[in-house]
Amino acid sequence: MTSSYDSFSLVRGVSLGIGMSIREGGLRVSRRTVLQAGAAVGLAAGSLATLSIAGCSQPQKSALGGLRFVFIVKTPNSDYWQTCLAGGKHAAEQLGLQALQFTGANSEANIQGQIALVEDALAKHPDYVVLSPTSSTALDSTIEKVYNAGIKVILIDSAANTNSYTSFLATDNHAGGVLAAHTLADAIKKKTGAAAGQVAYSTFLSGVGSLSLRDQGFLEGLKSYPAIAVVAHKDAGGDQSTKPIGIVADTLTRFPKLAGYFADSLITLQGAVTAFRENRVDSTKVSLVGFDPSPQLVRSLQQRVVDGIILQDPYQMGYGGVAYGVLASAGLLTPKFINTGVTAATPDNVNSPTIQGLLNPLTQRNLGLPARS
Amino acid sequence: MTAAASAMAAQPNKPLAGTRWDLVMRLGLLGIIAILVLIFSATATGFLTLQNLDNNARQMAVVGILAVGETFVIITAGIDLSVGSLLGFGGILVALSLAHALPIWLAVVGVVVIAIAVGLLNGTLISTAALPPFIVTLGMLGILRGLTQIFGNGQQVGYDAPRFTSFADGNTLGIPNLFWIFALVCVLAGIFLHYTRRGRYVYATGSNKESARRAGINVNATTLTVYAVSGLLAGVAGILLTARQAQGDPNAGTGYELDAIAAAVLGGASLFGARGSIVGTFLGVTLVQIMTNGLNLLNFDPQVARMLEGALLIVFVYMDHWRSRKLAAA
Repeated sequence: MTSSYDSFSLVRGVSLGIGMSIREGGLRVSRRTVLQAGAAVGLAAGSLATLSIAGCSQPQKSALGGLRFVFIVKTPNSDYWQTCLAGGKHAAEQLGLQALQFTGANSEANIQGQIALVEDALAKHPDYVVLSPTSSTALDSTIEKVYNAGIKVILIDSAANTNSYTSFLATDNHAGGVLAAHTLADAIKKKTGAAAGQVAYSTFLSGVGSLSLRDQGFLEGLKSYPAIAVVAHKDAGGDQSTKPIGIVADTLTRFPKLAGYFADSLITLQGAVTAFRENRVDSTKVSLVGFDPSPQLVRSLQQRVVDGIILQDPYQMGYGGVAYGVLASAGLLTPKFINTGVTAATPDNVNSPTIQGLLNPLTQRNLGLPARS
Repeated sequence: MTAAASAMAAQPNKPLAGTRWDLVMRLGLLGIIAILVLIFSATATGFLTLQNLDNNARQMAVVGILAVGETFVIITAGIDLSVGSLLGFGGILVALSLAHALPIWLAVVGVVVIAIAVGLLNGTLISTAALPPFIVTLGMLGILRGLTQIFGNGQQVGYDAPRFTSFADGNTLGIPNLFWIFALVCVLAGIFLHYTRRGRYVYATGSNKESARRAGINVNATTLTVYAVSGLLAGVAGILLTARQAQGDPNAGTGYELDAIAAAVLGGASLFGARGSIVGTFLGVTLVQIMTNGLNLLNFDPQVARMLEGALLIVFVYMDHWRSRKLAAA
C-alpha cells in the first residue's frame, strides 16, 4: 500500500539528482536545491529500505548498506571540522551506510599526513571518498590515483587543482563577501540613517584563495553603495595573537569617523571586536561585520557589538558529501560544483530556527526531513 | 665577588669600551625613535593623540615582556626559542582554568608556577646536561606547541571572567594596565641585572663561562635563573594575551620568540653574550612598535614595517661587528 508512494519518491529523488546535473551543468546550485537533494536522498534511502523490508530476508540492512566510503577532513581538531564530521556521520546513520573511517591529519598544515590518509583509503578500495584537501596542489596526483581507480571522489570545502573528481561541495566565498557588504551597508544605514561613510577591512592572510574571494566579493558588493568609501585594508599576516587587534586599532585611530568594518575570517573578526572594546568604540554608531562564528562572537552579536556574522555550512558539506557519494555511486551524473550557501546572522535573526540550526547543527538542525525522535 | 671583578679586570679595555659603545648605540636608537616620532607626527593623522599613545602602550606590552626575558638569556650567550610556545601554552592553560570556573588568582598563580618550571627544565638541560640552548629550547618549542594543541583540542578556548578581561583593556592613572605590568617587569629586571651581584653574574657567565666559574660564580645556578626568568615572563605574557583576547588561542604566540630576540638585539644585546640591557631592549621594543604603528597609520602594507625591522636589525648588528673588529685590531 505504501509501495506506490515509496517508488514515487524514489523516482523523484533520482530524477531530482539527474535534473540538477543537467540543469546546473556543474554551476552553482542554491541552498534550497542542496536541501532538496539531501531530502531526496533521504527519501530514496527510506524507500529502498522499505522495499528491502518487503522483498528481502534481511530486514536490518538497507539496500545502501553495502556502500563503503572513507571520509577525510583536513584535521578533526577544530569546531569547524567537528561540525563537518558530524554532518557526515549523521548522513551515514540516516542512510544506513557503512563508513570505513572518519579521519583527518593532526593539523591543517600537515599535507603529507593527509596524503598518507588518502593513500590508505585507496588501499581499502571503497566505493567513494569524501575529502577536504589540505593543499590545492599537493594532493592532486593522489586524488587522481583514487579517481582513476574507479573510486568516486567527493571534494568538500576546499578545491584541488585537478579535474579528477566527481563533485565539489563548498562555500561560494565570493557570494559570502557580497553578502557581507550588504549586511554591513544595512547596519550602517540603520545606525546613521544612510548607507554612507568610510569603511575599512582586514584580511587574515594575503594569498589565501578563499579569503581573497571574500575580499573581492565584499568590494564588489559595496559598489551598490556609491556613498560608501573603502579607506583602508590591512593584512594580519597570519598572526593569531596581537596583530589582528593592532591593525584594527590603528585603522580606528587613522579614521576616527569610520562608519563600518569588515573582517574576512574568525581570527580577524575577533581581533576587531577586541580593538573596538579597547578603543571604546560606540557600537550604536560604528558597524562591524565578519566571517565565521565562535560562542564569544555570537554573544557579541546578541549584545549588538557585532552587526553581522557570515555563516558557512560545514554540516551541510559533511552531510551532502556523503549523500552525493551515494548518488554518484548509484551511477548518477552529479553536479561538478554544489554551493552549500552562506547566511548572514544578525542581532535580529540570531534566535530564528534557521540561524540556530546553522550555529548549533548538532542540536538545532532539521534538514527538511521528518523529525526523528 | 671580588674574584669576579678581578676576572673581569683580566681584559681591562673591553668592558669599558663596550659600555661606552653601548651608550652610543642606545642614544642612536633613541635618536631614530625621536626622528620617527617627528616624521609620523607631521605626516600620520592621529599619531599624536592620547588614544594612539594608549594603543601603542597596550600593543607593545606582550612582546615587550617576552623580550625582557629573552634579554636575560641572550646575555648569558644562550637563546630561548620556546618563549612563543610557552606564551601559547600558558595562555591556553589560564583560559581552560577559568573555563572550569577556577578562581582568577589560582589560575594565574598556577600558570606562573608551571611557566617557571618549564624555564627551570630548560635551564637544567642546558647547564647540568650541557646541551646546546638552541636545541633544548627548539625541542621545548615543539613539545609546548603540541601540548597546547592537545590541551585546547586545537580549538580556541572561551571563558567567562569579566574581571579578568576588563583588567586587560582597563587603565590605571590614565595608562593601560598592560603597560603598567610591562613597565614593572622592566624596572625589576633592570634593577636585578644592573644593580645586584647575581645580576652581574649573568654578564660574567655570558662573557666567559670558564673564568666566571673559576672566579667562584655558580654558573649553573645563573643559567637556571635566566631560563626561569624567561619562562616566568613568557607565562605572564600568555596570561595577559589571554585576558586581552578574552579567550585562549592554541596558535597564540607563534613566531613571537623571533620578535623578542629581534627586539633584544636591536636594543644592543649580543648573541655572543655579555652584552645587553633592559633599557636597550625597551628601546628596541618601542622602535618596532612605533614603526609598525606609524606605517599602519600612513596606510602602508604592514609587511613594510616587517621588512624595515629586518633591515634595521642587520644594520645594527653590522655596526656592532664593525666595532668588535676595530676593538680587536686596537
